[in-house]
Amino acid sequence: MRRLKSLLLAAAAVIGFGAAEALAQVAPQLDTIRGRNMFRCGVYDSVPGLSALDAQGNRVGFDVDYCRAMAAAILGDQSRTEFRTMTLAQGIPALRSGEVDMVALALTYTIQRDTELGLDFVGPTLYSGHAFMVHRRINATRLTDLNGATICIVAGGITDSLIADYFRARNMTFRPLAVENTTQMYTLYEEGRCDVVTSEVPFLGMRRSRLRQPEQHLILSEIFAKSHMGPIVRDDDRRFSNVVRWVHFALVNAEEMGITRANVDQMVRESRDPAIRRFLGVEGDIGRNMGLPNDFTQAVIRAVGNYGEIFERHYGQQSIIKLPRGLNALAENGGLQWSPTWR
Amino acid sequence: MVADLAVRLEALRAAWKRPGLRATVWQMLAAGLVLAAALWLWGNITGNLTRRNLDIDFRFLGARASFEFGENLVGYRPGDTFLSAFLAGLANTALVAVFGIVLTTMVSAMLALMRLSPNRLARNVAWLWIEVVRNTPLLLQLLFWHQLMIRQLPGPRLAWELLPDVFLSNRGLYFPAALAQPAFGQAVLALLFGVALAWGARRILPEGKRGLAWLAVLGPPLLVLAVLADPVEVTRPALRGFNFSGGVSLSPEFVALLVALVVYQSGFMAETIRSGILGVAKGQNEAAASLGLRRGQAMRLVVFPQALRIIIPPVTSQFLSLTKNSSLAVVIGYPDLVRVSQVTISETGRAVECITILLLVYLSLSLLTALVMNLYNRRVMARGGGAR
Repeated sequence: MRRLKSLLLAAAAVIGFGAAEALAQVAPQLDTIRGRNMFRCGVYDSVPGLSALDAQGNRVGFDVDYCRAMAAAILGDQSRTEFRTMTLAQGIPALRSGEVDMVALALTYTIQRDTELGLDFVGPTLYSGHAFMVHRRINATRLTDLNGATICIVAGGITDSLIADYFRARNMTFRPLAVENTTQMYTLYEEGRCDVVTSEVPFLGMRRSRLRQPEQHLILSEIFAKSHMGPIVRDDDRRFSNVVRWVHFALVNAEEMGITRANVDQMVRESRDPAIRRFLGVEGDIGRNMGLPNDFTQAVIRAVGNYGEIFERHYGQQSIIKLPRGLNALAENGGLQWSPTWR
Repeated sequence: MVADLAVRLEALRAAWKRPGLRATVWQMLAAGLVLAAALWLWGNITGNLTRRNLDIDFRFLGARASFEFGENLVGYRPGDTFLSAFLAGLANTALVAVFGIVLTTMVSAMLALMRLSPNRLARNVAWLWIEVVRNTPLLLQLLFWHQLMIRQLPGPRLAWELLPDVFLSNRGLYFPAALAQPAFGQAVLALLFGVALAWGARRILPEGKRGLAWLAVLGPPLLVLAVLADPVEVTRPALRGFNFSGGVSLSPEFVALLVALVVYQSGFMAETIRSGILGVAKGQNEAAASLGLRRGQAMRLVVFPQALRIIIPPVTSQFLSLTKNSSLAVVIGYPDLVRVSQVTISETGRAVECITILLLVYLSLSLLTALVMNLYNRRVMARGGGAR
């Protein structure tokens, strides 16, 4: 009898607690992050260029640098980043359930993700296009040669829908083979289970260089769908969305102003240009009004450098794929990257 | 007044001593607790969903799905609804489960008999098989079979032609198939009619000439076939461009999944069957032998029917785990239910709904299997009567 009574009491307590929990409001995201002194970021486990471990066991990559930049801006220390590795299909559910603060899985910016799924996009941080890589032995050089092909894709993205649309419109068919992770996809392709593998151009280039016989594979020059990728956050906290979007703009703005990781300290000390002084938080209170340290841009640039430096490190001349800046050059150089005015 | 109250209390205490009432009260309390827990969970889910501005809505099932699914039995094409995509996934899951259950039963019965065989080679081979598959993870075995199929088999252009028109390559097994045409249905109807006719004829014909009735079976369908066009159209696989088209194919993913499930599950089931056979009293075997039955006959007619009573309940749960384990398919890219829900979640963001559908489907599949097995179990038990 006593046992039953305590059981009932426990149940009542649990129900009461649950109700109170449901009534509580969501704490502002910035406070949550500062409270745990850790920025949680969803990244790929092993996709070279985007997120992978280097020889020293450090996580490096383009997306990784965006996570570090956020931690530097909000917490003042890029090492306060907690990486949660996930597959493409896990990203959006993990973000929506609150498991991570931001997901950097090079997701393509689509209207449905923005308006229906309750997400805010940062950037686009990378402009590119979807292309196909094929085994040279199948003698395909144009997209129309791919009718009836078996195509390897990663489950959970929009690539299979994009291909399905493209093929349907041209009365072509294909057999998809959807697998969980990127590495497995390229392994199956290399073993000949698929005729074709598809991804964005820079990632295809990166992967081809790691195949056993790179010269046996051809990346078709035609782009079948445009792609503009970036990290995502939930859109339920406008203040937090503003912060992540403006950290990206800070990276681009720093490049426009010629501020790099190497010269940022000198700029802070010596620059007499009011625009630069305002950008670096030496003057004005832009950062403070955003709910950040006033000098958050300095912390970001000290951590990862400007946009151009990040690009060159992971895709450009300092990487193995040596991707030209192309669309990702600054607008003043004929590209698409630009920052709104910093005032 | 006080005495009145005391009498009532006494009556209550007496009533409480009746086990029937006590049982009812406890059961209602327990049911109330379960209900409260369910309500709390529900409140938690809806509360959290509203806090995150999400809602539960199954209307997305009617929207158009634009992804290509690959092999499927129900003929889903991109542009059909998400509901039909889910059905296609369900059909693929059910296909693996049904083939898996049938094959596992056959393989494990064979393994169990090998384990009990007086032949040392057979016994040791079965022992090794069972120990290896039971003690390594299923996921690993699945990847092993898949890799084996893809690495060891040639590409489609160098495919092995096993039999005329049967091709094996790393794109799967392709074989010719007969596709039913409209006339096929009519021929089947005619055949049924013929069977009924023969059944009637057997009652009229005298003893000894009843064999003639079989003629009546074939008559009507032959007549239909003579009048109508070909009932079936044969399609043969042929190499076109990248791959074979035509015919019917089994993908490497399907075969790998099926083999992995059958091999893995048969290890467990063989032991269940063996223990069932050993659980039948030794005297039954000796009695059968004294009646002059041979070893095989004794097993088939005396021991096995009794062993079934021991075997069926645990085997039911092994069938269930086979069905549930088939959801590992997503790792090698076999398009099953889990794959559909993955795509649907990424296209519509309806994660809670999709997971709910997955849970409900696997639950119903399991309950259905359990129901069929329990009915069968009841029959086996009834047939035994009071034999023991």
